[in-house]
Amino acid sequence: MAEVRFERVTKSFGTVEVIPSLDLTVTEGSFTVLVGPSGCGKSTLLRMISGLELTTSGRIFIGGSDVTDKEPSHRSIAMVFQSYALYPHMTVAENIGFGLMLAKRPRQEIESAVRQAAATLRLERLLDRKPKALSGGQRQRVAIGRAIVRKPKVFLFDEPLSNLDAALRAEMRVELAELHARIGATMIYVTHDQVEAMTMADDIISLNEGRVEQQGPPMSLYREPLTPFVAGFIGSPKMNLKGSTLANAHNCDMYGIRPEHLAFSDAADAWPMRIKLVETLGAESIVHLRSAEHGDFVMRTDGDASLAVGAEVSVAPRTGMEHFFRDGRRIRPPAPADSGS
Amino acid sequence: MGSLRMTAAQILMRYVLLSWIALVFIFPIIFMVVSSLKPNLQLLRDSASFAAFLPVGDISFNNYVHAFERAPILRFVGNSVFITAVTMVLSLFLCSLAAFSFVFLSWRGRTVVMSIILATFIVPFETIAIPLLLIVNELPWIGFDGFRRGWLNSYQVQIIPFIADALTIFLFVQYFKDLPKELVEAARVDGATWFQIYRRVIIPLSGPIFATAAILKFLMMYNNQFLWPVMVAQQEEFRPIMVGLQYFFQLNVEWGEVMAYLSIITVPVLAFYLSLQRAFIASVASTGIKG
Repeated sequence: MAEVRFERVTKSFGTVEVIPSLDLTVTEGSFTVLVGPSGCGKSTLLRMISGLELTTSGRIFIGGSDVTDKEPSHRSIAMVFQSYALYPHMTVAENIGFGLMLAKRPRQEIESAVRQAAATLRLERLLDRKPKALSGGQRQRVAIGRAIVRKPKVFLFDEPLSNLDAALRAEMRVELAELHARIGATMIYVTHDQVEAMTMADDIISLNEGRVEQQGPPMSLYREPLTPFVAGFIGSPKMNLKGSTLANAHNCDMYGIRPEHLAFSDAADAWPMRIKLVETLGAESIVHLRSAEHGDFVMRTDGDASLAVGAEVSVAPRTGMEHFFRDGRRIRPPAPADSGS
Repeated sequence: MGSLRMTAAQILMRYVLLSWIALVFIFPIIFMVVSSLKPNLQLLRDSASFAAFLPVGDISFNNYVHAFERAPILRFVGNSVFITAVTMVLSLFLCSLAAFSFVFLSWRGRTVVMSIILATFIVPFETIAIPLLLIVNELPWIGFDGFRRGWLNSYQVQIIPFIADALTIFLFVQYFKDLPKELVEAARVDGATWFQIYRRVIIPLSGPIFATAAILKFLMMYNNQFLWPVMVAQQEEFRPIMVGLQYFFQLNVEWGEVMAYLSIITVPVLAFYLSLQRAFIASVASTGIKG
C-alpha cells in the first residue's frame, strides 16, 4: 500500500502540452478512478506513474519516495494493459511468473506464487495454455495475475475492461472490486466509462484537458459537481445543462438538472413540453422532450408510464436538485432573478 | 462477381499455367545438372535440341572427377559456406539489435541515423570497393598468429564489411514495428532489461523474419562473392566459390566440368533454402515483403 503524489507535474509531447502543472494525491489503499473523455491525459498520467512515460517537469512520489527518474520495475507498481499485453509465446504460468523469473527468484517460490495467483483468479486449469487459447475475460485475468504476483504497492489499470463485452465487463467489475477488498493495495484505474468509475471507485478524479476538474467520492461528484464538465460527464443519461433563458432566470450562466430529477407535474410553473422519443429500458424509460422555451431535455421516468410520442406534457425539476454554475464553477442556489422555477 | 468455386476447366488452366512457370524456372537447373553428366562434344551438340534437358547418350560422372582434379572445390565451398554462415549469424544478431534500438528505444537522432542507413541502399558496392580496400589494408588484427596490420588474405576481410547492411536492418525494423508495443512495456514493468526484452520477448516472436533475413543474407553472401574476394584474397586458401569458377576458364574450357562445378556449389544454397522454406513463405505471406 502506498500513497501516490504528483507535485507540479507537467507533460508535453513536442510543442503540445498534454498536462499543465498538476498537483494530485491518490490516497493509500484507495481504489481511485481517473475518468475523462479521450485525449484528456488520463492514460498519460497513468503511464507517468508507471515510468513508461517520463515527466517533462515536476516530481512523482510513491509511498513517500521520489520515483520520478526511476525505471518502471523499481517503482513497486504493476500495470494491466487494455490489450492485456500477454506474451504470446509463453504459457499462462510463464506469463504470470515472468517478472519473478526475471528477478531470479527460486523456482519453488515462483511456482507457489503462480499457483496462488491462479487460485485467486480461477485460472488453475489454464496454466499450461497459451494466451491465444483463452477467452477475453481469461486473458484479462492472466494479466491481473501477472500484476498480483509481483506484490506491488500500486496497481495501475489502463482501461482493462474496454475490450470485453458488456456482460463480462459487469462480471469483471465485481471481481476487481473484490480483489481490491482482499488485497487492499492502492489501485489506480483509468477509464472513459463513467459507469465503471461510479461503480468501482472509492475516489474519482475527473480529468479534462490535463487538469483535475474534481476529485472525490463518486456520490459527491454526482451530487455536487464543481464544474459543468463534471456535471455533464458523471451520470447517465447526462445532466441537462442549459445556458440562456433558464440560466438567466436563475441568475447564473449555466443551469443543470439531471434526467432522474425531472418529473411530470401539474404545477402552474411547470414547463410545457412535447415528447420527441421514448427509449424503453424495462424498469425505466428515457424520455426525450422538447420545450419551445428552453430547448431539448432528457428525462428518466418509471418504465410503466404509458407515454406517446408527440404528446404534450408538463415537466418540472425536483426542488433542491438543480445545479447552478457561474464562470465555470458551481454556486449555491442563487436568489431567482425574477420568476421562480 | 460469380461463384467463387472454380470450374474444372479453370482448375486445369491454372495447373497448366503454374506447371509451365515452374518448368521455366527449373529448366536452367535441369540443363546444368544434365550437362554436367555429358562429355564436352555431346553437350555442345545437344544444346541445340531438347536433348539438352535429357540425360541421354554418354552419361558419366567423369566431369565431376576432372573438376575436382582441376580445382580445390571442397576448399572453395568450405570457404564460402564458412564466410556466409559467420556473416549471416553475426548480421542477424547485430542488425536485429540495431532494429530493436530504432523501434523500441527512444534516443536523440534515431530518425536521422535510420535515414542515413536507408540511404546506403542506393550506393552500389562497386563505388565503395576501392575506399574500403584502402581502409581494410590499414586495419590492425589480432589473430591466432599474433598482431598484424592489414586484413588482406583473411576470412575477416570477407566477413566484417558485410555484417551490417541496410536491407537486413530495414526488414527487422518493419517487422518489429508491427509487434505490439505493450509487450515491451509489460516486460519493462515486469523488470526486464532491454537485452532481456530483446532476447525473451522479441526474438521468440520474430522467427519468420529471422528466417527471411537469413535466407536473403545467405543468398546475397554466397552468390555475390566475386569482386571483393578477387581484390582482397590473392591466396587460394581464402578464396570462395565464385572466384574458383575462374579455374575453369583457363586455356581449354570444358563446359561439362563448368556445369559439374556449378552443380556442386548449388547444393548448399538449395539445402539451406529448403530447410527454411516454410518459415520464409510464412514470413513473406504475413509481412507483405515481396522480392
